[in-house]
Amino acid sequence: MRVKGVFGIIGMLLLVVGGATLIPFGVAVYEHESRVAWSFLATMMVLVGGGGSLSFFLNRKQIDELTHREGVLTMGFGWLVVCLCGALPYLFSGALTSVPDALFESFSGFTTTGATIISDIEAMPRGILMWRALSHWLGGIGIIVMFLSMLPFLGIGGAQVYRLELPEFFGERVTPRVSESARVLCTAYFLFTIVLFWLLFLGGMNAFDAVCHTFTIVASGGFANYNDSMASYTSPFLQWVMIIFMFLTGMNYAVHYKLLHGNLKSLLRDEEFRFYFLIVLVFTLIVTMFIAPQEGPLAGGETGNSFRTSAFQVVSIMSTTGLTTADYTLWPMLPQALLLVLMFIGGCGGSTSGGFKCMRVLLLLKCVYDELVMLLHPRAVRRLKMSRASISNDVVNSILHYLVIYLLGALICAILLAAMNLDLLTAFSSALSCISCVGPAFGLPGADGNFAEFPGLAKIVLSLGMLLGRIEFYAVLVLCMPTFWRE
Amino acid sequence: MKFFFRRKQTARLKAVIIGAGEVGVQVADHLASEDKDVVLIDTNAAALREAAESMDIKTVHGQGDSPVTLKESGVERADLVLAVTDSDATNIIACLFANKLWPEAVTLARIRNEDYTRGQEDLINGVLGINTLVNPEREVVKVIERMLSLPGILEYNEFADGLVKMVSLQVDCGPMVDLQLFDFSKVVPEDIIVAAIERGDKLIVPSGQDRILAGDIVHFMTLPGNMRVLRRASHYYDQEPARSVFIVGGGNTGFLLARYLEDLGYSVKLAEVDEERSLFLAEKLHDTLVLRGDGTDRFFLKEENIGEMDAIVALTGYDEENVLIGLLAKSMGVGHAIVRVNKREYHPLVETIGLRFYVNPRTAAVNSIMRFIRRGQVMASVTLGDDEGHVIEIIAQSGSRLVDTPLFELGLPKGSLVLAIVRNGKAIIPTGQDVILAGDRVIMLANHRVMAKVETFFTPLHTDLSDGE
Repeated sequence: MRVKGVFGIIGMLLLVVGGATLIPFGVAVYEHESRVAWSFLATMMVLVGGGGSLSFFLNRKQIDELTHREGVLTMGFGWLVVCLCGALPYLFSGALTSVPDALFESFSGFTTTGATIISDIEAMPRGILMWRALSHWLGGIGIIVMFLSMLPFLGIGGAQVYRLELPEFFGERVTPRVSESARVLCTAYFLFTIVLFWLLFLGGMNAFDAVCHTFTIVASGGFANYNDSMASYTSPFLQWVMIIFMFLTGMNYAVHYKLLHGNLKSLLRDEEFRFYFLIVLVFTLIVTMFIAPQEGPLAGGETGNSFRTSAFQVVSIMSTTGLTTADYTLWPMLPQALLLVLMFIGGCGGSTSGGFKCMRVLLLLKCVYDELVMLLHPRAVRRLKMSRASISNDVVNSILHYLVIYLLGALICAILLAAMNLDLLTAFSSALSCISCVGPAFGLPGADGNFAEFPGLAKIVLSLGMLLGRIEFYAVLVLCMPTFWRE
Repeated sequence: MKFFFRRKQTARLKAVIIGAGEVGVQVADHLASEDKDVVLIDTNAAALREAAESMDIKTVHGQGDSPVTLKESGVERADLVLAVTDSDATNIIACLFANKLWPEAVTLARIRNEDYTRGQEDLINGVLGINTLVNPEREVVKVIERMLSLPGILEYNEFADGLVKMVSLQVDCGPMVDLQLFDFSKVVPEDIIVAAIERGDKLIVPSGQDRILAGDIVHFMTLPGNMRVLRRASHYYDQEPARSVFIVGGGNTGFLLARYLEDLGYSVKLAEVDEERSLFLAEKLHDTLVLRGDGTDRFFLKEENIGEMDAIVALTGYDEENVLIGLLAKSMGVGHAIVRVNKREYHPLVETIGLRFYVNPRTAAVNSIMRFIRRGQVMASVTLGDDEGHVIEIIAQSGSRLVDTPLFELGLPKGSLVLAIVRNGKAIIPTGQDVILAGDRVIMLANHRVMAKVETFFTPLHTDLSDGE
């Protein structure tokens, strides 16, 4: 373990986040929110001071020698430290008074979950609203870079499947590859940010809301600037723009990268994408069928838009964004159950979305299908394949391990919530929603994903759940790997 | 004068053939019978002796890829070097040395491994500079697919980019039996003609007096769109194209066939005995159901419901096993059985026991090699019967004897026939009054004995003067 290198990188992360506080600082100054402005200044000093002294350890050679395992551990720790520091502005500005509240909001932001404990969002200072959205956006970059540049080389949770996707970033050592792939992958991320901002702005949002909501959607986060999430934007244009971009953020960024280079074929050949698209389509149609008869009250108070409302909700939950245009807890039970399933599945690997990931679900389904084929044709020879490439049994095994850990994580989280006397629906759906980084749930938090009434301890438990779900339990798994300690 | 030029033209093309396997011997036989100078190289002395006894060729005993052997064979004055051993590497190396020793020679390598075919560009162009590659397995795969999609059809070939088709059918019953060819147009439209009739091991290039007898294999020349008419006239109309295919034997051909068929949307099962090979197949094939099992195992075939499948294709390495698999599957109710039989001696037997469809990779290889040899003037070449006849497609050149004379005045040798003329993208089935113009594509049939004579008809006379010795 190269401690100096790890500290150095975390220090760099803190410097970046510290620098980013300039944006909400600027907003606060512009809006004459002096206390908020001071709080960001103070946060910046803490982050830059801490980050600067940590990166004092920065040793080029040691970073170059960093292995992927250490890299993931660094990311895990880094994420934790950033989440903790991200809570500072909420506390300094007095916007949130209790520590669990501030932590929950910060964890929810940087993990791009989008669950909130603020009951009256519209009353918040604008600087704070900007900080929430910005934390999503920063977290979004982090996850793409981590998933596509480091995890494939570790072989945990089946992520090695994506090694095939990125032949050009092959390598054993982290740093040069990370910086290269980060640059490439962020191209798409920045492009989405710019395009989406203009579309939202042209669609009639004011500039401030357009920026915040762009950050939240591009990172598949879920923080909205309004108490009723997106329900106040009834314009079909705005809603379709959001649906499309939420869908895009649920896709693998490696695919986006190839698309940007004009490789349309790779998209159609990508089985994970086809699976993702198919689920969105089928689930949307089913939900539409169920809510269309009672269209008025169920689909945001208007008639004639049940398809759009269904699409919005299905895409929003599946990409684990968690924005809402209607209160789906009033829907018939089947659509609600489907949304719960989507919370588990999540988007594609290598995206900003959370959840178990389409790729893993698809591979496990293929395993089941192969078993059925073997029953019919006992002498069949089957090889598991993904987008026409063979998948080894190791991958399937690691996906199965990941499934167990994922479910166990959600279960433990839910049981802890139940121990605090929350009802079963609330406990289980909140646990799943947070581990999958969705935001809204069923029961107490409801469609707005408002966790204000949860006990303080529950907020801490859910915060940790979000973090573990976000980094896909990797940091924990890495620590459990015997080889990690041997070397 | 004409007589004099003709002699010049046929003189002494020199070919070095490496590999006295079936393909090599077959090609040597063809070339020798057309009065070409042939040198055959192989490591197997017995095979060479056998070849030398039946043909007028020279043989050299030795490694085909060794420059010493190549020099000994006189490669330094050869026009053609054909490397057709079973080993891809030997073929490639032999071509490389031949290129080095005598850059004038045109080289051809027989390639079976798919990986080499993928790298075709590198082999043909650049430093390697091999002139052409033939992949007989590929040809076989296409032939089998045609048999599956057009049941009842024994052979199917296209000429002039599909404007003219040649279809071979066995005529057992129906209006065509005992029909004198004068009356042929009363039964079928005018744009179908009989190109050749195969009776027993004889190939008849027909005239108007000839009759079709029951059991004959008839090669029809037709314009597109007559396939249904032909199949109805021969009473094959009730057979549907195959959609589900069971392939036995996952060798090179089996693998290529499965991949070709699955891409075309067939439902394919592929049985392979070897465990490692079956894993390889399962990895490379995507929609094919790969099975590990022995095709001669009755229970295995039953388990996989062979009776419900449209066709079985037996492609194991053993002719005997293939025939048995075909018979077994037939007895269990499969629609068609296509079996691979390499040994020529077995062909009549296979027909007798009712397995009508057999594929012979050797013929496919010979076809593609002969096509290559005649390149320049000949666009396509297909052998008929037991290599008795060739159908060739040529471009009529101005100055050759073929052009500007009505067909009946041409004086083409007996045993040859002009089957179709394609002019400006339109195909015509000619009568004696028709005239071939320069630039036309002409599809001709010739018995192999008169092939050399026929070649003189489509060679421009003036080039002979400049090339003359």
